[in-house]
Amino acid sequence: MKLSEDFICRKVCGETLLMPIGEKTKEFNGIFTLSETGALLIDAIVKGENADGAAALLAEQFAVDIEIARQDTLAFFEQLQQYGILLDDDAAD
Amino acid sequence: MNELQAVTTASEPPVSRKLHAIGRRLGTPVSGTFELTSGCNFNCRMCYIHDGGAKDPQAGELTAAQWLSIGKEAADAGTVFLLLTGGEPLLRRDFAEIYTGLKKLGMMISVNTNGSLITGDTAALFEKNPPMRLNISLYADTPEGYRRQCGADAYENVVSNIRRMKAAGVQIKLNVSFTEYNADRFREIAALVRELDLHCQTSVYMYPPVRRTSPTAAQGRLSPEAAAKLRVQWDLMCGKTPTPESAEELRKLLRVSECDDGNARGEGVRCRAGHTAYWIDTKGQMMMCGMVPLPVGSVPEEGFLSCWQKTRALMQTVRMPKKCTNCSLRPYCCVCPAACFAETGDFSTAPAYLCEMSSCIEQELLRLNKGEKAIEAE
Repeated sequence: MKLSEDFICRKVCGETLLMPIGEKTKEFNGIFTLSETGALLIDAIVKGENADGAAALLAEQFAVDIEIARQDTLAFFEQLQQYGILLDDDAAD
Repeated sequence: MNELQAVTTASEPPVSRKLHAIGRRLGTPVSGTFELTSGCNFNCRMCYIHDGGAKDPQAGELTAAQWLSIGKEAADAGTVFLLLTGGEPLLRRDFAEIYTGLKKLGMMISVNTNGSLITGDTAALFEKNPPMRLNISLYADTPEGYRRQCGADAYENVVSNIRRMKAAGVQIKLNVSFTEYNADRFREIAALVRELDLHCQTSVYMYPPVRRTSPTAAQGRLSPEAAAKLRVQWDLMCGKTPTPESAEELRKLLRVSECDDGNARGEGVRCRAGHTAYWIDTKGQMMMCGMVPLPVGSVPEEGFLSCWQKTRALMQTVRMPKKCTNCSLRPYCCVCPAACFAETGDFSTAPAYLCEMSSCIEQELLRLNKGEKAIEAE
């Protein structure tokens, strides 16, 4: 999994923002704000973790059951994929 | 979990208000203005910056590389929202390079423009890669109106470009400023705005031309009385005139306890200027507000953060006139530190123009409250 190059992740005023850049703004001209857990999962992706690795980090950081963390992680990644923010490793940007 | 919240930009996004609120506590420069050029293809006599005649970007204005370098520093410091303005920013041949480069940094860009140059490659650029918002000045509702107000044969072109951008889904806000040259057409201008079906921001108060390099008296500015009458007329048309009762409520809210003490200083800066916002002029000098020509330093020479700290320090020294704090006319008045400075050269002196204008607004509203017909704006 990798972040699309059409988006940039920024941390401003303690908030984690995902913003479209370039022509992606034609599809979505706004800002995604991430919760604390969302920010952790995005950081995990940037560091090269896969879904299992990200879920493990989530379970550890927020002291939740690993299976629940896995389900939440997959649901979040699905949301990201719908917006074209998250791509498969072999996908072209 | 709800990790992802999508925010679109039809109006100021909630995330903007949130970031500005947090930024105010942290001293983060969340938003800024880059004044790309003082050149303009219009020649509006009431313009606060353009000197007339200079249609091309001027010597000494920053290059695209310099703007992108400042943009990088600004983004690192926390800037998310950026307004590109002029003069007419689309006159710059390197506008696309600056615009796309800043967007790649993760900036939400708005562009102030007179709308006449959104053609060809520029129109295609905005259609393919739209700004957060285009703020287009609408000066008149006829070709003659544009010639009279702006010295330009631009009406058809501007309206056509507005329609093209709207059809492409670009967010547009129309800015309408009333002067001696267009006030008599306010109903027709309102009709055009309605027909275009776009968000519109109007202004009847015109700042003195504080940024012109050659001293010029304010030309075309409405008298305080005419501005007041037009304000009331326009608000009546929009159905948002405050009643005397609602004005009294607002007046109570505006009283600031720290300023009720006779020994206290006047109000400080209430808007975002210097708290979370800054302005960088065509030569790279940072100011807290475009209407306050007190540059704190050169960003290319001193660096963004150093200039931002100086801007914040200046902002903290600013105090409005004490008499404004509890003034009974305050609910009708658009006074701010920048208006005080622009009108009087001093933050702590009340601007007579606005005192008179707000007094006239109150009189007009009182007349309306007695059931009398609003007096036609001259």
